[in-house]
Amino acid sequence: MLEEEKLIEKAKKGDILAFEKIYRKHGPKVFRFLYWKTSDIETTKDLVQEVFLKAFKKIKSFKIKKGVSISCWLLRIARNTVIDFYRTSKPTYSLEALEDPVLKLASSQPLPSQLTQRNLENERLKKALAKLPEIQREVIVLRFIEGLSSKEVGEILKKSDGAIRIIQYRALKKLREILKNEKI
Amino acid sequence: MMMKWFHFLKQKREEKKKAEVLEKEILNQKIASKENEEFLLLIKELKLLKEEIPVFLPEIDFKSQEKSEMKLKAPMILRPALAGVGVILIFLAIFLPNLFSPKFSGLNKKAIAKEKELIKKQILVHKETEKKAEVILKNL
Repeated sequence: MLEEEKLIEKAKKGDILAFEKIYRKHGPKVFRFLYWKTSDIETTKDLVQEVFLKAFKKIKSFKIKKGVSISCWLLRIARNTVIDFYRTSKPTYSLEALEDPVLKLASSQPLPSQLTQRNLENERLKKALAKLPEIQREVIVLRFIEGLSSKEVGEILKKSDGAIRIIQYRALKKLREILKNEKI
Repeated sequence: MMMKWFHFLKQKREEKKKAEVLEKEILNQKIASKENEEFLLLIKELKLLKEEIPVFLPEIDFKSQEKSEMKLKAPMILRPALAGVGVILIFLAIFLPNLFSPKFSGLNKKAIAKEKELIKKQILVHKETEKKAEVILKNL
């Protein structure tokens, strides 16, 4: 049995320390995924807390499957939590908040004079990512930034491997087009 | 119309093929076409974005969470018990009046029999007094 599986089994039996280890290991991944969607550190922190408290309550129902890690399960909870968050807090939005969070994330970076060449490249990429449709952006973030397999991404987004590969191809094609056509 | 449909299907099939080839090339890191070479470069750049996102993990007290869950569990056990009491009360509210009605109550049957006997006695007494009165009137 792998070390992670042992940890999961312990957490399922109510071992808090084992669950805390899972939190320390997978927390950053969940944080980044949520931050791409909210672009606000405080909101992301709240959502991370909500996600892991939900996971803590439901860990007993988690089943270990081949090729699907616990991070998929956590990221699926995170995705549902952020969807619920936007659904419930929609009426209180200001016009500023209605702005695309990823675009906001891209614009909340240091001034161009303070940036190095690498940072400028990253800025370009972030702005181009912001222009992708939500599902394509999710696939790009999970597949290439977080490094999950297409099967794992499919598990999170409830789509088949094939569908994920097509979305991934379209997303990369569009991203390349955006970067080529628009001088961001 | 049919031509358009076939063209659409052909495009879809080609896209699927390209997506599959790209996936294989991503996994094997072997580049076959110029398009995919550009994609692989793009993927390399995307991977660097991971370090760009600052991570601030909040401190979560799972121990207190477990304790509060334990507190919540007690009322959870009480709920079925309360529901049971409620069902019993509803049952009694429906059938209790019937249990004490003369139709169902054995006690009341006895009471009615006693009542009947009393009435009969009263009638007898009444008849006896009538007879006595008649005798007195004849003797006059």
